This record gives sequence, structure tokens and C-alpha cells, in this order.
Amino acid sequence: MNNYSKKKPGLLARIKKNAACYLGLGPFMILLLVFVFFPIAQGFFRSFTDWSVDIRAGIHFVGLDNYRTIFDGTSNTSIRFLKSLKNLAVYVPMTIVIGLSISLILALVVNQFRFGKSRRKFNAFRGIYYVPTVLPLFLCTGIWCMFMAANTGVFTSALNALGLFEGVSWTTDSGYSLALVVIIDIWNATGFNFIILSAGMQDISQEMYEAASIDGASTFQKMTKITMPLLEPVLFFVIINSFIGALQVYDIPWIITSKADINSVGGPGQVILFPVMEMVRNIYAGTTNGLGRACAEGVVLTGIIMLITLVLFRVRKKRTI
Amino acid sequence: MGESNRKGQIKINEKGILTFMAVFWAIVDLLPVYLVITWVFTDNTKNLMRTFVPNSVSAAIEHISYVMHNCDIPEALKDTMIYTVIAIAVMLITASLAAYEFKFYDFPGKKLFFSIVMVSMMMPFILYVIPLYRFVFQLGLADTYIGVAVVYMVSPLSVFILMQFSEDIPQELVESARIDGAGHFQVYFRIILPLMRNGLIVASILLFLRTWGSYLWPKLISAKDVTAISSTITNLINPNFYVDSRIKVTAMLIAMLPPLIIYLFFQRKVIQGIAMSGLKG
Repeated sequence: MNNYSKKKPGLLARIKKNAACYLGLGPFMILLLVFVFFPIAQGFFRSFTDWSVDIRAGIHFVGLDNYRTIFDGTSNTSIRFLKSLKNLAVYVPMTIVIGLSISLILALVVNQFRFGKSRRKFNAFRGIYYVPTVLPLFLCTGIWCMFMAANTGVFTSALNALGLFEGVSWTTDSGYSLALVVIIDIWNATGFNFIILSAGMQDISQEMYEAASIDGASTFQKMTKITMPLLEPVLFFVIINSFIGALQVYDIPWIITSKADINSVGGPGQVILFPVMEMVRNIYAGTTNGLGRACAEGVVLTGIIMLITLVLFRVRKKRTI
Repeated sequence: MGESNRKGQIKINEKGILTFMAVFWAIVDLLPVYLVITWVFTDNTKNLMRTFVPNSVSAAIEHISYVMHNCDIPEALKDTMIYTVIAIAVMLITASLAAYEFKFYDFPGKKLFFSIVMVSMMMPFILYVIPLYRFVFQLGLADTYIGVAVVYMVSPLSVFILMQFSEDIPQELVESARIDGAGHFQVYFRIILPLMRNGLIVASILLFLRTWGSYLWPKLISAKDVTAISSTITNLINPNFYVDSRIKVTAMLIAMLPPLIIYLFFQRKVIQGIAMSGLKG
């Protein structure tokens, strides 16, 4: 037996040897392929068909028709879809800039309590901040809608008493309803972002801050010169995550505006209609081609998400060079 | 002396401002929840809009029993709990097995499968929700518990979390067990699974919160046999007929309880799990 000629066992032999591994991994992978990847592929291909809710109508290839329809600007679908994209273009920057600023400031502020005997304060704040995130979005929406109702809401009454926002209907007025969605989303999401940013800050050793203190650095300087740069990877993750979530906004505006008539989602004038809502509306509306169009809208939205993610990665690369 | 006094004073003011900001947001977070709870515990004579302090436990009992009897809430709670538990059960088995294989073994295609799992985490749900919805219908699972659970039981994030929690388990443990004659799945069952306990708890809690609060998918799939708590509460919030505010808050309070209770009990683990999934992400 010559050791020099001993080769790595062939592929087939290795597969057989590890059969148990495949058996263990199998259930998960099968579920993943069947219930995630297969539908994704189907969604992509069906976007090029006239797929309808009506099962009796067949499914025929129509090429780029669906995509043309949703962008042509004249059909009802297109008007709504384009409006939803416009709303998204306003909503996403607003919720991310405001929301992340709040989360970041809170994390920086509460980070001061992390050391020594204020540790209990830190834990308490952290525990409280996460409460709205634990609450399901439908509950957050329900609570805030009730308190911001036009004449009967506690918060609106308080604001009106101060002379602010009188006569505003937060659930239907253009602009204000968007603000309401932003408020609810930030209220809910800040806890999550706070925890992650805060955890990221925990990795920064206290000695750095102490050394800076000895050198006479102010709290503000410590925040901007030590914390922020070292936090960058975590901050990047939070930004990407927030973008992906914000682009798919659905629950909050749907619950605020949905009534018996499916076409009322998004509010009067579609003030808070967003792409995912429009996709779902296509399912319920049951028009011919509806599902094919909804798939096309889904592909477009996914394209937007991927594009933005790519851009963010590129921008980050350029900055760190 | 004067110098350090000045510095000392500035420090106090600084801490004061910081504390104020932190407390401000804490109030923003808790005030709505506090009001909901307070209003449930207020008797019917008071004007809700002026109520800030609870005053009656018996009124709360009255409100709660009314809502439980008239708004289909117990059934919604039961149904939601059932499909959530199904999703968690399937996740626990499939995700822990997958994590076990990925973490402790090497086999042809492992990298490929792992990449597939990671990529799937980035796929937005909207991309496949519509075909999946029709697919579930075709399988005859419309309006069934399994039909709703299908989306949540496949959880790449859980695999990821479980792998993170397995980082401390040494490879030698598995190897020596195998040498001692333990079978592939015996090692999984008897040794690894118990050691994964914390990870299993965290993954379950996160999946519970996600499934319980979900609105879109249960609404698409369920009709009359399965009622999701999210649909029930939403119908009360934005109905086509008048619903008294007290009923609304009571219903919301009841729906709030499961997530809040779980959070209060498992707070440390929940926060740890979130932080972990974020930091490694």
C-alpha cells in the first residue's frame, strides 16, 4: 500500500458517508425550497403571464404587458401603483432619518448609564424602550389611531387645546396621515434599533472613554470621535435593515385605511397607499390579470429593494477606502 | 478649585439633560400602554378623555368579560395560539437539525446549502407571497392551521440564531460521543439539543412574537375556520359600525397580554437574542 497514491475518496463515496447529514438537513431544506424558493421562481415567471384569480381562465404568456400596464399612467392600476411609489419615496427617507436619529441619540445618551452604579438605570431604560417593539404592529396602529382620532382622541384633544393641528384628520388628510404612519412606525421600531446599537456600543471598551476623559474630551466629543466611528458596522446593518423594512410598509397604513370597499385602502386620494398594499389589493379585487400584475409589482418592488441595498453597500465601500 | 468646581457643575447639568432625554422617550413609549390599561380599569361613568388614573377593578372585570363573550376573542386567541405553536414546533425540529448539521459536520455541498439559507433570509416576503398563497390553496390548506403556519415554520433566522448559540459547544464533544458509539441522531438528541436550550428558547420567543403579530398572511389564508387575533382586533379598531372606546381598549388589552407576558418573563433572553442577530448580521 503506497501512501502517496492515496486519493481523497470520490464524491459519491463522500455523499454516502455523510448520508445522515443530508437526512438531518433535509427537512429544513425541503421546506425552504418548497415554500420559499419555488414560490419566488413562480412569482417571477408568472409576472409575465395573465394570471387571474379566476381559476377557469387559463394562464398565458403575455411578455412585458403587465409591466407596461402598471407603468403606463392611464389605467387605474397604474395610477394607483405610481402613486404608491411616490408615497414610498416620501415615506422611506422620513421614517429612516427621523427614526434612526432617535434610536441613535437614545443609544448614545443611555450609553452613559452603562457604567458603574447606573447600570440599573440602563437596564430599566432598555427594558422600557423595547416594549413598543414587542407589541404587534396591528396593536400599535390600533392604539395610536384611537388616541389620534379627529375629535375623540386624547392626544389630538391635547394638541388642539394647545392650538395645534386643529381640524386635522390624522387618518385621512394628505400629509398628516403619512406623518401618522411615520409616528407609529418609529414608535414601534425604535426599541429594536436601540437594542442593536446599544449592544454594538457595549463592545467598545471603557478604557477608551477613560483615556479620552483624561485628555479632557467632552461627552459630545467622546460620542462623535469614539463611539460613532467604532459603531459604523452595526449602524450600517441597522440602516440596511430599516430600509428593507420601510420599503415593504404594509400593516400600518392598511389598518388605518381599510374599509369594506377594497379600493378604499390607502385612504381618500390614496394618500397612504404603498406598493405592498396595492399588490394585496390586486388579489382581492379579482380583476383579470390581477395576479399577474401583482407579481409584476412584486418583482418591481423587489428590484427597488435590491437596488437600494446595492447602492448602500457601494456607498459604504467608497467611504471606508 | 474653581476650575474643578466648574467642570463638576457642567457634568451634573450634562447628566441632567441626558436623563431628561432618556426619560422623555420612556414616557413616550409607556404612556399609550398606560392609558389603555387605565381606561380598562375605569368605570363607565367617567369621561375617558379625562381619565388618567384607574379607579375600578370591577369595571375592568365587567369590560373583559363582555369583550370575551361578544367579540369572538377567545376563539381568535385559541386559533392564533394553535397555528403559532405549530409553526414553533416545526421550526424547533427542522431548524435545530439544520443548525446541528451545519455546525458540526462537513459534507459535500455544505457551503452551497448554507449560502442558500443565507440568501433566503434576504428574500423579501412580498416577492413570493402571491404564488405561495395560491400554492397553499392548491394544496387544500386554505383556512387551516397548517396553511397559516406554513410561512412561519420555515425560519432561516432561527437556524442562524441556533448556530450562534452553539458556538460554545466544542467539536470534540461530538467526536468523542461518536467514538463511544453514539449514532448521528443520538448525539443530536441526547447531547446537542439540551445544550442548545437557550438558543431554542430565544428562537421560539422571536418566532412567537413574529407569528402572533402577523397580519397580512393570516388574513389572506384564513376565512371562517381559522381566526387570527390580528384580524379580530383590526376589525374592532376600524369597523364599519360604531364600537365603543371601552370595548376597543379592552380588546386591545387582551391582545396585548400574551406578547407582554412573554416579554416580561423572558426579557433578558429576548434582548440577548435580538442583539445577537443584529450584531452578527
